[in-house]
Amino acid sequence: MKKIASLLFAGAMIFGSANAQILSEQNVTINMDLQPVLQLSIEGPEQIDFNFTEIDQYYAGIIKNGANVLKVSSSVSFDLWAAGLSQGNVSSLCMDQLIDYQGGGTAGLNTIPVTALELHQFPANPLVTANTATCDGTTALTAESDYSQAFAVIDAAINAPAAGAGNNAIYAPAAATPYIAPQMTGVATAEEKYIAGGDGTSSCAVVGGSYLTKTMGFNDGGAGNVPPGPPSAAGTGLPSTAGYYFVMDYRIVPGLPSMFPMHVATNNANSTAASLTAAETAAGTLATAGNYAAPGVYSMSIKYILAEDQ
Amino acid sequence: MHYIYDLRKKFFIALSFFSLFTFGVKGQVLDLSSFQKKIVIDDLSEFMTNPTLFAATTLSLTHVNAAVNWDLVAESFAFNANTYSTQGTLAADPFDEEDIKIRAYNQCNTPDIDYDGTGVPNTNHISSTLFRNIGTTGTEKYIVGDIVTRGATNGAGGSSCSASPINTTGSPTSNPESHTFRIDFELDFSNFPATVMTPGFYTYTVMFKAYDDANPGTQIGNAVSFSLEIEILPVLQMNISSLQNIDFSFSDINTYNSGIIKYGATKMEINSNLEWDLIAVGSSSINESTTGASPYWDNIASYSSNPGGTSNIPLSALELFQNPSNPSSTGNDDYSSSFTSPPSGNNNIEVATGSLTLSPVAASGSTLSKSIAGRWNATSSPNNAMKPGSYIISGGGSWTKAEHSYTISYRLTPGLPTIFSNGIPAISPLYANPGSYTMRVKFILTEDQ
Repeated sequence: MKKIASLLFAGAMIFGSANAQILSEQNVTINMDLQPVLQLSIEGPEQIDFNFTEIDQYYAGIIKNGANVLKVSSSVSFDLWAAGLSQGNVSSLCMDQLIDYQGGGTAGLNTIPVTALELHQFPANPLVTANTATCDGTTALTAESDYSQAFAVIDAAINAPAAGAGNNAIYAPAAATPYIAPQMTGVATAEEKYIAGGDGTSSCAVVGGSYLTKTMGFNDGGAGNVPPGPPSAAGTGLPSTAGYYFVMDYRIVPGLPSMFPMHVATNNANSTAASLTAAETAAGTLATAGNYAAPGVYSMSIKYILAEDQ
Repeated sequence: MHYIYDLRKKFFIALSFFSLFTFGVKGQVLDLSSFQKKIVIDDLSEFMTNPTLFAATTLSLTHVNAAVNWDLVAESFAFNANTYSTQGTLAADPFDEEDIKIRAYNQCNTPDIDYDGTGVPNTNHISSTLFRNIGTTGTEKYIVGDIVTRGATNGAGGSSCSASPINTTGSPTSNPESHTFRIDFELDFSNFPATVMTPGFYTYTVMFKAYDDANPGTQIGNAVSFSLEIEILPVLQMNISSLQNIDFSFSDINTYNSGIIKYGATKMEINSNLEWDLIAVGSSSINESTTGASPYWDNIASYSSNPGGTSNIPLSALELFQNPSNPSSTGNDDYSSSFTSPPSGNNNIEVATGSLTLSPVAASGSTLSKSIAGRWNATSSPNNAMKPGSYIISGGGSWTKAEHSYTISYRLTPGLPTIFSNGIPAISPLYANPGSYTMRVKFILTEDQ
């Protein structure tokens, strides 16, 4: 009987406890979908025309200053580079020929390499500016790793850079592999160029961020002036953190004779860079004395690639 | 001759039966229809009105001695408490036998007879219509009669027995209007919420006895006892209105910078009969399985084949904003700070491991010092705990219903670079790898501790 009473008591406890508790817990699940955001916006015309109709334009070339402005927003560390490309209707690494003004003649050569196009960027690749970053653990980035150097002076008499070498020929992957990233070898003469970031993941990227949150270093940042106002302090004149906003200039120098001297590898500081030498090879004998580019309409494209650091 | 023998035999049989019957009823003066009942208090509404147990038992009296008038008493015989909590046990007037009231009703309103002639039933008596306690253990109160010898007493004025003596011979069968009593019980919770009605299992025993009216204190016949079992359960009710899953989708660069806020995504409403605390704890399966060594979100999927950042996103990156603020707050110990840009860290969720026993994860900067209401690891109201009460109605000065209802907003701010700058431990200088992540928020309502 005692045992039955105990069981009854236990049963009463169980059923009696149905609506009460010593602790109440409710769970809410939080899900986060962190999608990679790599936004590259380009300001400027979709098509940029270089019309060489005057002889001085052949000598000095044509520069399109500030033709494009690149604006980057990225949630991940990124690299940014430009790839000079064609469809390869002449050959890979050479501009496409749209119209031949020779009327079928063969005196001029239509093998104008895409590396004839020079780029100039402002500001510099922040990793080049820092000059301490190592990529793939081999070397510090040098001036050959971006397009920040000024366009080289052309000596019309020799149809080549007047002194030193150019440092602005566009990186050019093969037409069939447009997404091959520029390679950094650790040797200055063999470097291929990035606009921002570099080859390899070890400290070789621009950290995620956006041009939206950067200041441009104007003169209204007087310390202690809230809101900013006179007396103003001198600004830096630079984006507060480089790497998200670039102004791009373009130049093409046909030269006289029009052998496009800047495509010649030895006229560039990164003279042994693989894509540069390959493009020179694709140009064949264009740079050989006595040869010149055939008059006509040519076309190429620049593919700006913003990629997660890799 | 045979006829005479047969008649004599029947006479003896009848005499024997009468003797046995007389002996039997003399020994069984009092009886109960049941000897035990249980009442369970498991809902806060029962604390707002005194719970009542009608017809817990029926007390009946059989009396055959016309020479003796009887009185009837109830004695507070025993009270036993096995409490589930310490709250309320040290109160000035904790829940005990004096909070258990009794009423003895019959058709004659016999217990309400005005023996003193004061116009109202003697308040020291058990009433037929009003609930009154018997008192501390050992105390007796009269149901019928009193300490003074009253002789044969008529029923209460106005009742069907007003002209007939009720404390003389009779039985439940022949005189149910005067010789049976329906026994009701009432629990006096009027001290709640000022005093916590300590959860526990209580047993209260009442002894019913008949006395000789002419000789007060002289018991006639047997005594019967009735046990009332009372179980007061801890009531910690949390109603939560929320989506089971709250999704943050960062697919636009602006949301990375500014973050995403889910306003009022969760609403909690509290009922409690104890002093209570309410906290929010962030956790994940990897946090639990490593006992806090990896206080990160669970990474469900990665969107990069060769990610250069980290998939260890700190759980503390999740920010909460509560409304209203913690009434027990002494500053910076709840989630009432407004969201700031960039995140201040004041709204970071507390991170802990465990279930019934929570261990704060120091690597997340958590000390469990932030509570939505009350204060974890600090006891006693008003400064360290919330008072018992309900979100449904305000408690007449004892509590406000607003203090029992909280709305929670959530925010995540990845930032650019995506380092969740408010999260601890920091993931700088790397960035959070794109992917799908999940964590959980546990809202825990518990007895003040």
